[in-house]
Amino acid sequence: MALADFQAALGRLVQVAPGATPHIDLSSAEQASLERLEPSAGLRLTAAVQRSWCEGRAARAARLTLSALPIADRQRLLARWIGRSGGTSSFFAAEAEAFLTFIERHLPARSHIRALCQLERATIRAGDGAAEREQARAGPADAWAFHPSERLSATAGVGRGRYADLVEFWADPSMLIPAFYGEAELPPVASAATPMLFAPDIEGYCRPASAEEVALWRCLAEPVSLAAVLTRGVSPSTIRTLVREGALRLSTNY
Amino acid sequence: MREHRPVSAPGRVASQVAPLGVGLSYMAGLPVDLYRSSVVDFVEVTVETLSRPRQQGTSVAIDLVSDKLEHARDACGALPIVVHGVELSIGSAAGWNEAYLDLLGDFQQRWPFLWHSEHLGFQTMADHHGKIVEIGVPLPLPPTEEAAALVTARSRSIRERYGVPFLLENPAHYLGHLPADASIGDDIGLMRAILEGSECGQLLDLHNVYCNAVNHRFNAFEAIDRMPLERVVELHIAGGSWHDGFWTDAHDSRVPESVWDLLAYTLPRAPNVKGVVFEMLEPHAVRLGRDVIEAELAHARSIWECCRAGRQ
Repeated sequence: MALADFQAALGRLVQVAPGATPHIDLSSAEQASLERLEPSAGLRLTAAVQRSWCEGRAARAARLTLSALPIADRQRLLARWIGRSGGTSSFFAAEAEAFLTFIERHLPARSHIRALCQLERATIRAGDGAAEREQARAGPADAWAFHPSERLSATAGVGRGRYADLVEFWADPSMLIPAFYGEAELPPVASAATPMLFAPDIEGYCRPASAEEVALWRCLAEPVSLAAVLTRGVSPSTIRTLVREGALRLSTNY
Repeated sequence: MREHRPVSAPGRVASQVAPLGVGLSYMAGLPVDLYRSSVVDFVEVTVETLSRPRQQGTSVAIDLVSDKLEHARDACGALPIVVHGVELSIGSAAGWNEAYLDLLGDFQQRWPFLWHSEHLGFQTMADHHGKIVEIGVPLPLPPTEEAAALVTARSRSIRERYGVPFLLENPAHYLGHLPADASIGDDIGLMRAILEGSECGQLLDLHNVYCNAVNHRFNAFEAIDRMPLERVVELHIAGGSWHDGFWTDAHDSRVPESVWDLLAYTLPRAPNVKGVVFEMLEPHAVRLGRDVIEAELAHARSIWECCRAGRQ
Protein backbone atom coordinates (compact mmCIF):
# COMPACT_ATOMS: atom_id res chain seq x y z
CA MET A 1 0.00 0.00 0.00
CA ALA A 2 1.34 3.42 -0.89
CA LEU A 3 2.21 5.44 2.21
CA ALA A 4 -0.13 8.29 1.23
CA ASP A 5 -3.06 5.89 0.84
CA PHE A 6 -2.32 4.19 4.14
CA GLN A 7 -2.14 7.54 5.94
CA ALA A 8 -5.38 8.80 4.39
CA ALA A 9 -7.15 5.57 5.24
CA LEU A 10 -5.84 5.43 8.81
CA GLY A 11 -6.53 9.13 9.34
CA ARG A 12 -10.13 8.67 8.25
CA LEU A 13 -10.53 5.54 10.33
CA VAL A 14 -9.46 7.52 13.37
CA GLN A 15 -11.70 10.45 12.52
CA VAL A 16 -14.89 8.68 11.46
CA ALA A 17 -17.33 6.79 13.60
CA PRO A 18 -16.47 3.13 14.29
CA GLY A 19 -17.58 0.86 11.48
CA ALA A 20 -17.54 3.50 8.75
CA THR A 21 -15.40 2.71 5.74
CA PRO A 22 -12.98 5.31 4.41
CA HIS A 23 -13.64 6.24 0.80
CA ILE A 24 -10.39 5.30 -0.85
CA ASP A 25 -9.47 2.77 -3.51
CA LEU A 26 -7.55 -0.04 -1.92
CA SER A 27 -6.48 -3.45 -3.10
CA SER A 28 -8.00 -6.41 -1.32
CA ALA A 29 -4.72 -6.97 0.56
CA GLU A 30 -4.64 -3.33 1.61
CA GLN A 31 -8.24 -3.43 2.67
CA ALA A 32 -7.49 -6.56 4.67
CA SER A 33 -4.64 -4.87 6.53
CA LEU A 34 -6.93 -2.02 7.52
CA GLU A 35 -9.71 -4.38 8.50
CA ARG A 36 -7.32 -5.94 11.00
CA LEU A 37 -7.06 -2.50 12.58
CA GLU A 38 -10.69 -1.49 12.42
CA PRO A 39 -12.22 -3.72 15.08
CA SER A 40 -9.26 -3.40 17.42
CA ALA A 41 -9.43 -1.89 20.88
CA GLY A 42 -6.28 0.06 20.02
CA LEU A 43 -7.97 1.82 17.14
CA ARG A 44 -10.98 2.58 19.32
CA LEU A 45 -8.71 4.12 21.94
CA THR A 46 -6.80 6.11 19.30
CA ALA A 47 -10.11 7.43 17.97
CA ALA A 48 -11.19 8.28 21.52
CA VAL A 49 -7.94 10.16 22.14
CA GLN A 50 -8.37 12.02 18.85
CA ARG A 51 -11.93 12.94 19.77
CA SER A 52 -10.95 14.02 23.26
CA TRP A 53 -8.12 16.22 21.97
CA CYS A 54 -10.38 17.77 19.35
CA GLU A 55 -13.16 18.42 21.87
CA GLY A 56 -10.64 20.02 24.21
CA ARG A 57 -9.30 22.33 21.51
CA ALA A 58 -12.79 23.32 20.37
CA ALA A 59 -14.05 23.86 23.92
CA ARG A 60 -11.09 26.12 24.72
CA ALA A 61 -11.66 28.06 21.51
CA ALA A 62 -15.31 28.90 22.31
CA ARG A 63 -15.21 28.87 26.09
CA LEU A 64 -17.47 31.89 26.67
CA THR A 65 -20.20 30.96 24.20
CA LEU A 66 -20.29 27.30 25.18
CA SER A 67 -20.51 28.19 28.85
CA ALA A 68 -23.58 30.30 28.12
CA LEU A 69 -25.39 27.52 26.25
CA PRO A 70 -27.57 24.87 27.88
CA ILE A 71 -25.54 21.68 28.41
CA ALA A 72 -27.53 19.70 25.83
CA ASP A 73 -26.98 22.36 23.14
CA ARG A 74 -23.29 22.60 24.06
CA GLN A 75 -22.78 18.86 23.70
CA ARG A 76 -24.79 18.68 20.48
CA LEU A 77 -22.79 21.50 18.84
CA LEU A 78 -19.47 20.06 20.00
CA ALA A 79 -20.40 16.61 18.71
CA ARG A 80 -21.50 17.96 15.33
CA TRP A 81 -18.33 20.05 15.04
CA ILE A 82 -16.05 17.12 15.86
CA GLY A 83 -18.08 14.98 13.45
CA ARG A 84 -17.15 17.46 10.71
CA SER A 85 -13.44 17.08 11.51
CA GLY A 86 -13.44 20.19 13.69
CA GLY A 87 -11.07 20.67 16.58
CA THR A 88 -8.04 19.43 14.69
CA SER A 89 -6.14 22.73 14.55
CA SER A 90 -3.65 23.12 17.34
CA PHE A 91 -3.66 26.90 16.80
CA PHE A 92 -6.16 28.58 19.07
CA ALA A 93 -7.17 31.54 16.90
CA ALA A 94 -7.75 29.42 13.79
CA GLU A 95 -9.86 26.95 15.74
CA ALA A 96 -11.81 29.74 17.45
CA GLU A 97 -12.61 31.47 14.17
CA ALA A 98 -13.87 28.28 12.56
CA PHE A 99 -15.79 26.86 15.51
CA LEU A 100 -17.45 30.10 16.57
CA THR A 101 -18.53 30.69 12.96
CA PHE A 102 -20.04 27.20 12.96
CA ILE A 103 -21.84 27.85 16.25
CA GLU A 104 -23.09 31.23 15.04
CA ARG A 105 -24.93 29.55 12.17
CA HIS A 106 -26.90 27.46 14.66
CA LEU A 107 -28.00 30.31 16.89
CA PRO A 108 -31.17 32.36 16.38
CA ALA A 109 -30.87 35.75 14.72
CA ARG A 110 -31.48 38.78 16.93
CA SER A 111 -30.57 36.85 20.09
CA HIS A 112 -28.28 37.63 22.96
CA ILE A 113 -26.49 34.30 22.66
CA ARG A 114 -25.67 34.95 19.01
CA ALA A 115 -24.32 38.39 19.90
CA LEU A 116 -22.20 36.80 22.61
CA CYS A 117 -20.84 34.28 20.11
CA GLN A 118 -19.99 37.09 17.68
CA LEU A 119 -18.41 39.10 20.48
CA GLU A 120 -16.16 36.19 21.47
CA ARG A 121 -15.07 35.64 17.89
CA ALA A 122 -14.55 39.36 17.24
CA THR A 123 -12.45 39.77 20.38
CA ILE A 124 -10.22 36.80 19.55
CA ARG A 125 -9.96 38.01 15.96
CA ALA A 126 -9.01 41.55 16.97
CA GLY A 127 -6.50 40.27 19.51
CA ASP A 128 -4.95 38.08 16.86
CA GLY A 129 -4.77 41.03 14.51
CA ALA A 130 -3.19 43.20 17.18
CA ALA A 131 -0.47 40.59 17.68
CA GLU A 132 0.15 40.49 13.94
CA ARG A 133 0.32 44.27 13.72
CA GLU A 134 2.78 44.32 16.59
CA GLN A 135 4.88 41.79 14.71
CA ALA A 136 4.74 43.86 11.52
CA ARG A 137 5.76 47.02 13.34
CA ALA A 138 8.76 45.27 14.80
CA GLY A 139 9.89 44.30 11.30
CA PRO A 140 11.90 46.32 8.82
CA ALA A 141 8.85 47.54 6.93
CA ASP A 142 5.48 48.27 8.46
CA ALA A 143 3.04 46.80 5.99
CA TRP A 144 0.15 48.07 8.09
CA ALA A 145 1.30 51.67 8.13
CA PHE A 146 -1.21 54.22 6.98
CA HIS A 147 -0.37 57.86 6.93
CA PRO A 148 -3.31 60.26 7.30
CA SER A 149 -1.57 62.76 5.11
CA GLU A 150 -1.64 60.38 2.18
CA ARG A 151 -4.23 61.08 -0.44
CA LEU A 152 -6.76 58.33 -0.85
CA SER A 153 -6.31 57.05 -4.37
CA ALA A 154 -9.56 56.68 -6.26
CA THR A 155 -8.14 53.62 -8.00
CA ALA A 156 -7.65 51.78 -4.71
CA GLY A 157 -9.93 49.05 -3.45
CA VAL A 158 -11.37 48.94 0.04
CA GLY A 159 -12.65 45.99 2.05
CA ARG A 160 -13.28 44.81 5.57
CA GLY A 161 -10.20 44.29 7.69
CA ARG A 162 -9.31 40.65 8.14
CA TYR A 163 -9.31 41.06 11.92
CA ALA A 164 -12.38 43.27 12.23
CA ASP A 165 -16.07 42.66 12.77
CA LEU A 166 -19.29 44.51 13.42
CA VAL A 167 -21.43 42.97 16.15
CA GLU A 168 -25.04 43.91 16.71
CA PHE A 169 -26.19 43.65 20.30
CA TRP A 170 -29.87 43.51 21.19
CA ALA A 171 -29.37 45.13 24.56
CA ASP A 172 -26.77 47.27 26.26
CA PRO A 173 -23.61 45.12 25.77
CA SER A 174 -22.39 45.89 29.28
CA MET A 175 -25.47 44.10 30.66
CA LEU A 176 -24.95 40.89 28.71
CA ILE A 177 -21.78 39.41 30.20
CA PRO A 178 -22.97 39.66 33.85
CA ALA A 179 -26.25 38.13 32.77
CA PHE A 180 -24.56 35.20 31.08
CA TYR A 181 -22.47 34.65 34.20
CA GLY A 182 -25.69 34.44 36.20
CA GLU A 183 -25.05 37.68 38.05
CA ALA A 184 -28.08 39.44 36.61
CA GLU A 185 -31.22 38.80 34.62
CA LEU A 186 -30.86 38.70 30.84
CA PRO A 187 -32.27 41.98 29.50
CA PRO A 188 -35.19 41.84 27.04
CA VAL A 189 -34.34 41.74 23.33
CA ALA A 190 -34.52 45.31 22.07
CA SER A 191 -36.24 46.28 18.85
CA ALA A 192 -33.15 48.09 17.58
CA ALA A 193 -29.56 46.87 17.55
CA THR A 194 -26.61 48.48 19.30
CA PRO A 195 -23.77 48.08 16.79
CA MET A 196 -20.21 47.77 18.05
CA LEU A 197 -17.12 47.81 15.87
CA PHE A 198 -14.24 45.45 16.71
CA ALA A 199 -10.75 45.97 15.28
CA PRO A 200 -7.11 45.45 16.34
CA ASP A 201 -6.20 49.09 16.88
CA ILE A 202 -9.28 50.20 18.77
CA GLU A 203 -8.51 50.59 22.45
CA GLY A 204 -10.01 47.57 24.17
CA TYR A 205 -10.69 46.23 20.67
CA CYS A 206 -14.22 47.69 20.40
CA ARG A 207 -16.24 50.89 20.32
CA PRO A 208 -19.75 51.92 19.26
CA ALA A 209 -20.16 52.15 15.49
CA SER A 210 -21.80 55.18 13.88
CA ALA A 211 -24.66 54.83 11.41
CA GLU A 212 -22.28 55.82 8.60
CA GLU A 213 -19.82 53.10 9.63
CA VAL A 214 -22.56 50.48 9.85
CA ALA A 215 -23.80 51.35 6.37
CA LEU A 216 -20.26 51.25 5.01
CA TRP A 217 -19.53 47.92 6.70
CA ARG A 218 -22.65 46.36 5.20
CA CYS A 219 -21.77 47.39 1.66
CA LEU A 220 -18.26 45.94 2.02
CA ALA A 221 -19.19 42.28 2.25
CA GLU A 222 -16.96 42.09 -0.83
CA PRO A 223 -14.18 44.62 -1.57
CA VAL A 224 -15.23 47.51 -3.80
CA SER A 225 -13.40 50.41 -5.40
CA LEU A 226 -12.69 53.34 -3.14
CA ALA A 227 -14.17 55.61 -5.78
CA ALA A 228 -17.52 53.84 -5.46
CA VAL A 229 -17.48 54.29 -1.68
CA LEU A 230 -16.66 57.96 -1.91
CA THR A 231 -19.40 58.45 -4.51
CA ARG A 232 -21.90 57.17 -1.92
CA GLY A 233 -20.95 60.08 0.29
CA VAL A 234 -18.76 58.31 2.84
CA SER A 235 -16.30 60.84 4.15
CA PRO A 236 -12.57 60.29 3.55
CA SER A 237 -11.93 60.95 7.24
CA THR A 238 -14.21 58.03 8.18
CA ILE A 239 -12.29 55.75 5.86
CA ARG A 240 -8.95 56.97 7.19
CA THR A 241 -10.05 56.32 10.77
CA LEU A 242 -11.34 52.84 9.98
CA VAL A 243 -8.19 51.91 8.08
CA ARG A 244 -6.03 53.20 10.91
CA GLU A 245 -7.99 51.09 13.39
CA GLY A 246 -7.68 48.00 11.21
CA ALA A 247 -11.43 47.85 10.59
CA LEU A 248 -10.92 48.39 6.84
CA ARG A 249 -8.06 47.61 4.55
CA LEU A 250 -7.03 49.27 1.32
CA SER A 251 -5.58 47.50 -1.66
CA THR A 252 -3.58 49.42 -4.21
CA ASN A 253 -4.72 47.41 -7.20
CA TYR A 254 -8.43 47.00 -7.26
CA MET B 1 13.91 -8.65 8.69
CA ARG B 2 16.94 -6.38 8.64
CA GLU B 3 20.01 -7.66 10.45
CA HIS B 4 20.75 -5.73 13.64
CA ARG B 5 24.17 -4.47 12.79
CA PRO B 6 25.43 -1.51 14.84
CA VAL B 7 24.50 1.93 13.58
CA SER B 8 27.69 3.92 13.73
CA ALA B 9 27.56 7.04 15.86
CA PRO B 10 28.13 9.98 13.54
CA GLY B 11 30.79 12.23 14.94
CA ARG B 12 28.82 15.42 14.66
CA VAL B 13 25.83 14.14 16.60
CA ALA B 14 27.94 12.58 19.30
CA SER B 15 30.65 15.15 19.83
CA GLN B 16 29.13 18.57 19.20
CA VAL B 17 27.56 18.89 22.60
CA ALA B 18 28.87 18.26 26.11
CA PRO B 19 26.62 16.31 28.50
CA LEU B 20 24.01 18.64 29.97
CA GLY B 21 22.31 16.69 32.75
CA VAL B 22 18.64 16.90 33.70
CA GLY B 23 16.19 19.08 31.81
CA LEU B 24 12.58 20.20 32.03
CA SER B 25 10.10 21.23 29.35
CA TYR B 26 9.43 24.97 29.26
CA MET B 27 5.94 25.68 30.57
CA ALA B 28 4.85 29.31 30.82
CA GLY B 29 2.54 28.53 33.73
CA LEU B 30 5.29 27.27 36.04
CA PRO B 31 7.11 29.58 38.48
CA VAL B 32 10.04 31.27 36.78
CA ASP B 33 12.38 30.55 39.68
CA LEU B 34 11.93 26.80 39.15
CA TYR B 35 14.02 27.14 35.98
CA ARG B 36 16.57 29.27 37.79
CA SER B 37 17.09 26.80 40.60
CA SER B 38 19.80 24.16 40.58
CA VAL B 39 17.34 21.34 39.78
CA VAL B 40 17.29 22.19 36.06
CA ASP B 41 20.42 21.98 33.88
CA PHE B 42 18.76 22.76 30.57
CA VAL B 43 15.33 23.50 29.15
CA GLU B 44 13.43 21.87 26.31
CA VAL B 45 11.38 24.43 24.40
CA THR B 46 8.46 23.68 22.10
CA VAL B 47 8.60 26.62 19.73
CA GLU B 48 4.99 26.21 18.61
CA THR B 49 3.86 27.31 22.08
CA LEU B 50 5.58 30.67 21.50
CA SER B 51 4.01 31.29 18.11
CA ARG B 52 0.85 32.02 16.17
CA PRO B 53 -0.17 31.21 12.59
CA ARG B 54 -0.86 33.84 9.97
CA GLN B 55 -2.54 33.47 6.60
CA GLN B 56 -0.05 34.39 3.87
CA GLY B 57 -1.80 34.30 0.53
CA THR B 58 -2.97 30.72 0.11
CA SER B 59 -0.54 29.32 2.65
CA VAL B 60 0.03 29.74 6.37
CA ALA B 61 3.09 31.26 8.03
CA ILE B 62 3.87 30.85 11.72
CA ASP B 63 5.28 33.85 13.58
CA LEU B 64 7.02 33.98 16.92
CA VAL B 65 5.04 36.02 19.45
CA SER B 66 7.51 38.47 20.92
CA ASP B 67 6.14 38.70 24.45
CA LYS B 68 5.88 34.91 24.80
CA LEU B 69 9.43 34.56 23.51
CA GLU B 70 10.71 37.20 25.91
CA HIS B 71 8.94 35.56 28.84
CA ALA B 72 10.50 32.21 27.96
CA ARG B 73 13.98 33.73 27.62
CA ASP B 74 13.56 35.51 30.90
CA ALA B 75 12.48 32.29 32.63
CA CYS B 76 15.32 30.22 31.17
CA GLY B 77 18.02 32.83 31.80
CA ALA B 78 21.41 31.52 30.73
CA LEU B 79 20.40 27.85 30.70
CA PRO B 80 21.13 25.98 27.47
CA ILE B 81 18.05 25.07 25.47
CA VAL B 82 17.05 22.32 23.09
CA VAL B 83 13.95 22.33 20.90
CA HIS B 84 11.24 19.68 20.79
CA GLY B 85 8.83 20.18 17.89
CA VAL B 86 5.28 18.88 17.61
CA GLU B 87 3.93 20.30 14.35
CA LEU B 88 6.36 19.21 11.63
CA SER B 89 4.58 15.96 10.74
CA ILE B 90 7.81 14.65 9.28
CA GLY B 91 6.25 11.41 8.08
CA SER B 92 3.28 12.80 6.16
CA ALA B 93 3.38 11.54 2.59
CA ALA B 94 1.14 14.44 1.55
CA GLY B 95 3.78 16.96 2.63
CA TRP B 96 5.34 18.19 5.83
CA ASN B 97 4.86 21.51 7.59
CA GLU B 98 7.08 24.00 5.72
CA ALA B 99 5.80 26.84 7.90
CA TYR B 100 7.19 25.11 10.97
CA LEU B 101 10.60 24.82 9.32
CA ASP B 102 10.61 28.56 8.63
CA LEU B 103 9.50 29.25 12.20
CA LEU B 104 12.33 27.11 13.51
CA GLY B 105 14.83 29.05 11.41
CA ASP B 106 13.52 32.33 12.77
CA PHE B 107 13.69 30.97 16.30
CA GLN B 108 17.25 29.75 15.82
CA GLN B 109 18.33 33.24 14.76
CA ARG B 110 16.85 34.73 17.92
CA TRP B 111 17.62 31.98 20.43
CA PRO B 112 20.18 29.35 19.32
CA PHE B 113 19.57 25.79 20.51
CA LEU B 114 21.94 22.86 20.94
CA TRP B 115 19.79 20.30 19.12
CA HIS B 116 16.20 19.81 18.08
CA SER B 117 13.87 16.89 17.80
CA GLU B 118 10.60 15.74 16.28
CA HIS B 119 8.24 12.81 16.67
CA LEU B 120 8.58 9.96 14.20
CA GLY B 121 5.02 9.95 12.91
CA PHE B 122 2.44 11.91 10.96
CA GLN B 123 -0.54 14.07 11.83
CA THR B 124 -1.73 15.35 8.46
CA MET B 125 -3.15 13.63 5.39
CA ALA B 126 -4.57 14.52 2.01
CA ASP B 127 -8.35 14.88 1.92
CA HIS B 128 -10.58 13.76 -0.97
CA HIS B 129 -9.53 16.87 -2.93
CA GLY B 130 -5.83 16.46 -2.28
CA LYS B 131 -5.74 19.28 0.27
CA ILE B 132 -3.56 18.65 3.33
CA VAL B 133 -5.70 18.48 6.47
CA GLU B 134 -4.88 17.86 10.11
CA ILE B 135 -5.98 14.56 11.63
CA GLY B 136 -6.09 15.90 15.17
CA VAL B 137 -3.75 13.37 16.76
CA PRO B 138 -0.26 12.09 15.87
CA LEU B 139 -0.22 8.61 14.34
CA PRO B 140 2.60 6.09 13.88
CA LEU B 141 4.29 5.37 10.59
CA PRO B 142 4.11 1.87 9.17
CA PRO B 143 7.51 0.15 9.19
CA THR B 144 7.93 0.17 5.42
CA GLU B 145 10.73 1.01 3.00
CA GLU B 146 8.74 3.96 1.67
CA ALA B 147 8.26 5.49 5.11
CA ALA B 148 11.93 4.99 5.94
CA ALA B 149 13.06 6.59 2.68
CA LEU B 150 10.76 9.58 3.12
CA VAL B 151 11.87 10.39 6.65
CA THR B 152 15.53 9.67 5.90
CA ALA B 153 15.59 12.22 3.09
CA ARG B 154 13.75 14.81 5.16
CA SER B 155 15.99 14.25 8.18
CA ARG B 156 19.09 14.78 6.05
CA SER B 157 17.65 17.98 4.70
CA ILE B 158 16.81 19.23 8.20
CA ARG B 159 20.28 18.36 9.45
CA GLU B 160 21.85 20.42 6.70
CA ARG B 161 19.46 23.35 7.08
CA TYR B 162 19.97 24.06 10.80
CA GLY B 163 23.50 22.80 11.33
CA VAL B 164 22.81 21.27 14.75
CA PRO B 165 21.95 17.67 15.67
CA PHE B 166 18.45 16.55 14.74
CA LEU B 167 16.79 13.75 16.72
CA LEU B 168 13.75 11.61 16.04
CA GLU B 169 11.56 10.44 18.91
CA ASN B 170 10.10 6.94 19.08
CA PRO B 171 6.31 7.31 19.46
CA ALA B 172 3.81 5.60 21.72
CA HIS B 173 0.82 4.18 19.90
CA TYR B 174 -2.06 1.81 20.51
CA LEU B 175 -2.37 0.25 17.04
CA GLY B 176 -1.14 -3.30 16.97
CA HIS B 177 -1.18 -4.33 13.33
CA LEU B 178 0.43 -1.80 11.02
CA PRO B 179 1.33 -2.96 7.52
CA ALA B 180 5.08 -3.71 7.44
CA ASP B 181 7.82 -4.57 4.97
CA ALA B 182 9.81 -7.63 6.03
CA SER B 183 13.03 -5.74 5.37
CA ILE B 184 12.12 -3.17 8.06
CA GLY B 185 10.21 -5.34 10.50
CA ASP B 186 8.82 -3.13 13.23
CA ASP B 187 9.05 0.37 14.69
CA ILE B 188 12.55 -0.28 16.05
CA GLY B 189 13.58 -1.42 12.57
CA LEU B 190 12.07 1.73 11.10
CA MET B 191 14.03 3.98 13.45
CA ARG B 192 17.19 2.01 12.77
CA ALA B 193 16.75 2.27 9.00
CA ILE B 194 16.26 6.03 9.20
CA LEU B 195 19.27 6.53 11.47
CA GLU B 196 21.40 4.43 9.13
CA GLY B 197 20.47 6.57 6.17
CA SER B 198 20.71 9.97 7.79
CA GLU B 199 22.96 11.76 10.23
CA CYS B 200 20.26 12.21 12.80
CA GLY B 201 20.19 10.87 16.33
CA GLN B 202 17.44 9.42 18.46
CA LEU B 203 15.42 10.93 21.25
CA LEU B 204 14.56 7.77 23.15
CA ASP B 205 11.32 8.30 25.04
CA LEU B 206 11.37 5.67 27.75
CA HIS B 207 7.76 6.24 28.71
CA ASN B 208 6.74 5.59 25.12
CA VAL B 209 8.70 2.33 25.17
CA TYR B 210 6.96 1.44 28.43
CA CYS B 211 3.51 2.27 26.99
CA ASN B 212 4.09 0.14 23.92
CA ALA B 213 5.54 -2.71 25.98
CA VAL B 214 2.54 -2.73 28.32
CA ASN B 215 -0.06 -2.34 25.59
CA HIS B 216 1.50 -4.61 22.97
CA ARG B 217 2.83 -7.07 25.52
CA PHE B 218 6.57 -7.19 24.91
CA ASN B 219 9.58 -6.89 27.16
CA ALA B 220 10.75 -3.26 27.30
CA PHE B 221 14.31 -4.16 28.32
CA GLU B 222 14.68 -6.55 25.39
CA ALA B 223 13.31 -3.87 23.09
CA ILE B 224 15.89 -1.38 24.36
CA ASP B 225 18.62 -3.96 23.74
CA ARG B 226 17.57 -3.99 20.06
CA MET B 227 17.75 -0.22 19.67
CA PRO B 228 20.72 1.68 18.21
CA LEU B 229 21.66 3.07 21.63
CA GLU B 230 24.90 4.63 20.42
CA ARG B 231 22.72 7.09 18.46
CA VAL B 232 20.62 8.15 21.42
CA VAL B 233 21.33 11.77 22.36
CA GLU B 234 18.39 12.55 24.63
CA LEU B 235 16.08 10.57 26.90
CA HIS B 236 12.51 11.44 27.85
CA ILE B 237 10.79 10.30 30.99
CA ALA B 238 7.13 10.91 31.76
CA GLY B 239 4.04 9.47 33.38
CA GLY B 240 0.69 8.30 32.09
CA SER B 241 -2.56 6.71 33.16
CA TRP B 242 -4.92 3.81 32.42
CA HIS B 243 -7.79 4.24 29.95
CA ASP B 244 -9.94 1.41 28.62
CA GLY B 245 -7.34 -1.19 29.44
CA PHE B 246 -4.44 0.73 27.88
CA TRP B 247 -1.60 2.57 29.59
CA THR B 248 -1.71 5.93 27.82
CA ASP B 249 1.04 8.43 27.16
CA ALA B 250 -0.96 11.12 28.90
CA HIS B 251 1.88 13.00 30.64
CA ASP B 252 -0.50 13.50 33.53
CA SER B 253 1.25 11.80 36.45
CA ARG B 254 4.54 11.02 38.11
CA VAL B 255 7.06 8.74 36.40
CA PRO B 256 6.17 5.05 36.96
CA GLU B 257 8.71 2.92 38.80
CA SER B 258 9.18 0.79 35.69
CA VAL B 259 10.27 3.86 33.70
CA TRP B 260 12.83 4.74 36.38
CA ASP B 261 14.11 1.16 36.00
CA LEU B 262 14.33 1.67 32.24
CA LEU B 263 16.29 4.88 32.77
CA ALA B 264 18.76 3.16 35.06
CA TYR B 265 19.07 0.33 32.53
CA THR B 266 19.45 2.52 29.45
CA LEU B 267 21.81 5.25 30.61
CA PRO B 268 24.90 3.04 31.03
CA ARG B 269 24.21 1.46 27.62
CA ALA B 270 23.78 4.71 25.71
CA PRO B 271 27.23 6.30 25.60
CA ASN B 272 26.26 9.48 23.76
CA VAL B 273 23.30 10.63 25.82
CA LYS B 274 23.57 14.34 26.62
CA GLY B 275 20.51 14.83 28.77
CA VAL B 276 17.34 13.47 30.37
CA VAL B 277 14.15 15.53 30.11
CA PHE B 278 11.11 15.14 32.37
CA GLU B 279 7.93 15.76 30.39
CA MET B 280 4.52 16.69 31.75
CA LEU B 281 1.58 18.52 30.24
CA GLU B 282 1.31 22.02 31.67
CA PRO B 283 -2.12 21.71 33.32
CA HIS B 284 -0.98 18.58 35.14
CA ALA B 285 2.35 20.17 36.10
CA VAL B 286 0.48 23.09 37.63
CA ARG B 287 -1.94 20.70 39.37
CA LEU B 288 0.75 18.42 40.79
CA GLY B 289 2.89 21.35 41.87
CA ARG B 290 6.48 22.35 42.21
CA ASP B 291 7.40 19.85 44.94
CA VAL B 292 6.43 16.90 42.75
CA ILE B 293 8.32 18.29 39.75
CA GLU B 294 11.42 18.89 41.83
CA ALA B 295 11.19 15.38 43.27
CA GLU B 296 11.04 13.84 39.79
CA LEU B 297 13.97 15.95 38.63
CA ALA B 298 15.98 14.97 41.71
CA HIS B 299 15.23 11.29 41.07
CA ALA B 300 16.39 11.64 37.47
CA ARG B 301 19.53 13.44 38.63
CA SER B 302 20.42 10.69 41.08
CA ILE B 303 20.29 8.10 38.27
CA TRP B 304 22.15 10.41 35.89
CA GLU B 305 24.95 11.08 38.36
CA CYS B 306 25.20 7.43 39.36
CA CYS B 307 25.67 6.49 35.73
CA ARG B 308 28.19 9.28 35.12
CA ALA B 309 30.17 8.20 38.17
CA GLY B 310 30.18 4.64 36.86
CA ARG B 311 31.69 5.78 33.57
CA GLN B 312 34.53 7.73 35.19
